[in-house]
Amino acid sequence: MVATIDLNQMTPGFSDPVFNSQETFRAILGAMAHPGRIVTAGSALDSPHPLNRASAAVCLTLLDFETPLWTDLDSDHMAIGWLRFHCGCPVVQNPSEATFAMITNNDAMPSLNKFKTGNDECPESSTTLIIQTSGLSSMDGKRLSGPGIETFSTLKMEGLTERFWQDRQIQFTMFPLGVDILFTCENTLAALPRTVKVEG
Amino acid sequence: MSFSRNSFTTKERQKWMSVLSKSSCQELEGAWQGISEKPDYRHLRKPETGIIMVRARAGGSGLRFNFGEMTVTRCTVKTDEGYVGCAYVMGRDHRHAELAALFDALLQNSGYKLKILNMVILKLKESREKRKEEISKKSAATKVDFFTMVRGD
Repeated sequence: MVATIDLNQMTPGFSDPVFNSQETFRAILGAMAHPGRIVTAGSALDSPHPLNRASAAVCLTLLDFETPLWTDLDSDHMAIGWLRFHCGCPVVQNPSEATFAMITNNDAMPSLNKFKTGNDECPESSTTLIIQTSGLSSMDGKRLSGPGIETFSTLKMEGLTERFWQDRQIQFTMFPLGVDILFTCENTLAALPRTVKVEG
Repeated sequence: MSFSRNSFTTKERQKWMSVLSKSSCQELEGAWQGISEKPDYRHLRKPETGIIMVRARAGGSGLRFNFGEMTVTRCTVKTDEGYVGCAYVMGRDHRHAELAALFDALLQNSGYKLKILNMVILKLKESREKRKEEISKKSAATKVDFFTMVRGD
């Protein structure tokens, strides 16, 4: 049985669903095409705790009834009700069934191989991870190279564990299989597609 | 979820939601303008139009099949007093969905409930029944009785 959504605590989503989601889609597209580039999204959004504005905007833009979501939040959490109300997405218990995954607590994050990595025929049928970080900056940090980056770019994501980067390194060798990742912080986001090599 | 301040039953709400969705937008607009103390509200979900699949069962008890697609418009509003009104109406009229959601919110407020049930919902129900009767009268006049002639062989 699916839990009912408590509308009494509900807050609005995009003020203009059509234009705001187009704007966010464009931002995600830009971030994905230029890994490491930090773009803004959801600046005017009133997102439910603990989702930051960029994560909430990504969900409102990309999620619908055909995209199962896995999150590390409790199933009766207000933010899940908010996502189900505005996106209409099913919430699944198993990361390997999810098209999108929302990670709010990086320390307790499942290993990357727990998510869908696609198969050789359809590598795109994988999970896209939305990982909330406590800070995003392009001043220093990891060195990224690959498609969409002329020489190299740098990106620093605060609060990720060493285990995560080891997982990412292993997954990089599985290309074209793997997960694509969006890192978010407040109203900014940056992408780490599976094509990108991470060093440092 | 708290039901403590709810002064209505689910059945009651289903009834008024049905009446609101089946009334015309003009009627709802007239009734809305007639309310003296309108609460302020904001949209939790602005009116949006989509398609739903209507399903049916043959003979009411057979296997379920897809009957056809239907256009619906839905809206969710929240009044400043904290009441959340929802509406799903047939067609593409955004204002209709908005008004139906507003009335749904008002009807959950015991301060408004009786007044609106008597002044708005009852009237809407009556005018709908009248409309229905007129339509059935019109179609009754065109009624044709089919009969089979017995072949004499």
